[in-house]
Amino acid sequence: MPVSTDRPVICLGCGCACDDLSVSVAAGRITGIENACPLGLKWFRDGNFPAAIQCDGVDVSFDRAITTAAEILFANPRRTLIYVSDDVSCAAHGEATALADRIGATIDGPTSDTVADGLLAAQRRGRASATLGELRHRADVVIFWGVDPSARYPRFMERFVTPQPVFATARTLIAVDVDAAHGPRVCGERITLSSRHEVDALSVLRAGLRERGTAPTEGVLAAFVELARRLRSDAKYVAIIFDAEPDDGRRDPDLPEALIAFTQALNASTRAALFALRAGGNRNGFESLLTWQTGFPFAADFAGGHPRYVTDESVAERLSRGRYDAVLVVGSTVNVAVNIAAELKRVPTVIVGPGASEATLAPGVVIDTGAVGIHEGGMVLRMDDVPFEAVPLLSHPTTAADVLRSLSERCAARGSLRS
Amino acid sequence: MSSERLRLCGGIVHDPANGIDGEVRDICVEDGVIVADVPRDAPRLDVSGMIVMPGGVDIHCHVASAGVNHARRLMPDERRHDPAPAPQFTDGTGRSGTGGIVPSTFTTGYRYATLGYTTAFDAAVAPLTAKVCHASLDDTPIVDAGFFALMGNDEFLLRQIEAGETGLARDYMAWLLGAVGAYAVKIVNPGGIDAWKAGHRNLNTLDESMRGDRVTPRAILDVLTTVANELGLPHPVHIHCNNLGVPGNVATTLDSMRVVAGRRAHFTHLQFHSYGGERGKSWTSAAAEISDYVNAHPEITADVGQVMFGPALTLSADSPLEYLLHETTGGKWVNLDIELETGCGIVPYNYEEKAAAAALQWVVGLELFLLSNDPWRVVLSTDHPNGGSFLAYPQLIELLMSRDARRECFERLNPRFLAGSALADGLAREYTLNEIAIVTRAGPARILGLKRKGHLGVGADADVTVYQRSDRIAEMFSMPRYVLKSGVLVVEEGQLRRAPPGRRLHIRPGYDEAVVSNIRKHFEDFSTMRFESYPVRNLKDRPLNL
Ligand code: SF4
Ligand SMILES: [Zn+2]
Repeated sequence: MPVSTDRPVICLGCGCACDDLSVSVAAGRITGIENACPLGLKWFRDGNFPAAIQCDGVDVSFDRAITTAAEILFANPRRTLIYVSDDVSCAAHGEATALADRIGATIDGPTSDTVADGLLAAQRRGRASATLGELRHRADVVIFWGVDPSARYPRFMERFVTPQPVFATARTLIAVDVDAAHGPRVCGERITLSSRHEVDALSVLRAGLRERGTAPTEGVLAAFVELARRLRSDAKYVAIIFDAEPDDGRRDPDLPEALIAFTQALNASTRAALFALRAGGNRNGFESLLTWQTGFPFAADFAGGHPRYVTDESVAERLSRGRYDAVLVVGSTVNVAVNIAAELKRVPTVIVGPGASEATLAPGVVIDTGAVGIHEGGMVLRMDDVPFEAVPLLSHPTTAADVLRSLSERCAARGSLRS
Repeated sequence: MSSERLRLCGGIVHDPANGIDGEVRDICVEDGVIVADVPRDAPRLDVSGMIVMPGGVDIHCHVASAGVNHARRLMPDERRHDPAPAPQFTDGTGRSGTGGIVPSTFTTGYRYATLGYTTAFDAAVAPLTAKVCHASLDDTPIVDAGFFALMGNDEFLLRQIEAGETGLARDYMAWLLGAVGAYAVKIVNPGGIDAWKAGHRNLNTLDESMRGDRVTPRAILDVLTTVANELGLPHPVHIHCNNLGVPGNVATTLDSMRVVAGRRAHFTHLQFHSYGGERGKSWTSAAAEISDYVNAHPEITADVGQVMFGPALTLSADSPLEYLLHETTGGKWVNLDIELETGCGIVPYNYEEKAAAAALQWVVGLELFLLSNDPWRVVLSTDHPNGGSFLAYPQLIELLMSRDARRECFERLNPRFLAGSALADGLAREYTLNEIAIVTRAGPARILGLKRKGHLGVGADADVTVYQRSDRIAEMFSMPRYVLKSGVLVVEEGQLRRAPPGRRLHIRPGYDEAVVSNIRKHFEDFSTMRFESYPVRNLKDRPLNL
């Protein structure tokens, strides 16, 4: 007889963090999931994750694996990278950061190669945003900037856009179709734009807010003059949605800042919030935790005995110029970018995370752990930084946090590496 | 460690809660609490000639909320210049971090402890994000800490007020405090944040409303204060009034105090709410009027929210105010609307001696301190990091204790708004050491209803700070010689030696279970989170006994 969990289950398949799933389990497997989208079903698999501990493909004891991992990671610890990937809890993030601090390593994650532009822009300017409930209940105009959430955030529309708003009488959906990146089909209005003109279009929009009676812009951007006028005079709460982690990496590096600046400026005449679509796996959780522990949301280098913010190069760039002699990957490798995976083949690597032994990265030490939200509880953050408590459904012999703590203890036994 | 006994010998003890004002006595500690005596062979620490006080209690700061974390993230540059290497502990567990106006969490705990503070409350947490606050506090060592839950713009409560359902409001407030592990009810700009989110810029008087006549700031203050008092909460209600920072806001502040008359209520960062004059025309100190009212009304307590010159960071649920500030500075600005509950705004700021407004604010804060006739009810804060960092408390203490220090600073100020202010006319008062012990520990503890904090009587938590006596007041208060936290010697010879985890201070008042079905329905209708996902689970410390 399958048993269902008594609490609703949270999915980390994307940043929506849907917490209304109900899951049945039997004989150590997930036998049924209700309310999950296909992406979510894929994320849970059947709950059956490997539990191997290996060195170079050969099964070894936990102790042996920790010893070998310590040899790899502590040989020249200031040249070690701790790469925090997906599907581990904030408790594991905390242990990973403690280890980086203790040994003087660099700690970073996918953020560095995906949303860094947006985070840095928000550090320069701030931002105007909201939790997703404000989108669902307050926005009377929703602008999709070159994204249809349904592809990579399948239930986003159903959960946050389609419901009847409580604090607005009606809702206008506007698509800005950027090249092939079109907004949702349900949008009643569309503007077509080339990615070459994205930032210009946002400048036109901003100018349109500032000056009354601007001379109409001719050509491709004329539609944005009109849009600015309407937003200024008719809208009460404008939600702008963009994909902070687009699949194809298509991105003018100035786009996030232009979106932030426009949304902030809109607040002079109406209310507005920018919503960044974010991937799942608790990436927001890692950025938050690293911020409270170090002050920086990613790219913290402890080599000098304290965190230093190293944002000049991304992880991929640092790896490719040989900055690191060893890498500890914490978390699932399923979504590790191809270029980073390629670099990892050239550096001694330790992988600690769900499905580690299935990774097709470099040979080295792998320690399978449970995944947060499947085998482990703990705090996880939605794409808007709203926290949830993950529900453990099945058991797994190893948690990432425990492995990292063992590594820390091994390090302590060798004496502090910090000078 | 905590089971160890210790006798602090020969210190000059300031323990105002127990009527001890500078007497030479021993303080005995066992199992983390103060005891009457320990055996003669118990370890001794000779503190003869030194000043002994209870550990400091910060009644209002911002150190661990999700909003604080957004603020931290906003200031990467300043932290480059304030690295915080890991303290050297024998067990190797010290953590590095970064400082600046909003330090990282471990560094925050260490810096509070090395300042002699052992208890702190984050004054503004959106309940929706409480889990982040608890996780941040888990990483803020040494200090016992808790937070206040934002309720003054809460959708469920506004609806109950509109419907006249005070009973449901009461049970909801009790449920909410327990569900998210909070310590007290916080009201920020009642109704004004809701108005800002709804597209109105703000509310300017206590009788305006954006939701029908019944949901006014006056009604919100009244209902929440009544309920918090009825529930018998240790710290009934913590109020940040409407119209913060606006010239002429003294009228709103006095009006708010009259609304809650006769019931216990705490008015926070009163300095920001004590201005005369008129918007766009004039700006004056109204500290005297406010002080007259507070002095005459024993049910009212306050912290000052002193501004200290230098860099600060304004961070508040009062998002309409933060927007106004952003218009003034034209610089970085964060706004986060938080569904069904509140908002969050962040603007970096710099208080300059040569800026007329900042000079006035500095003066108003000091006047509130100096005109108060009851240090138990008007206590010290800088609203860290809003008026300045908690690291500036020693400088503030010096300003309170030394007329010369005040005069020296006053002479450098932009005098534009200062004519006729009490401070300009020369306030001679100088705080005594005992009064400092009251406004930094005994008073806040009493206002917070913390029976085991802020004093050194038998049964109190053994949180003790020992200062080397000195005429250089700021230096003395910035470098305690010894600090005990729950009986553990965390600071020795001025050096941080240990960093045990702090305890979580939270409460779980009782309520009528019948309210739960209403709350559940509210979540189903309006929240993007399931009701079951909302509560904070597995808090490591038990709620305080009420
Ligand atoms: S939308 Fe995202 S979080 Fe929701 S079920 Fe699908 S993958 Fe999971
Ligand atoms: Zn405050």
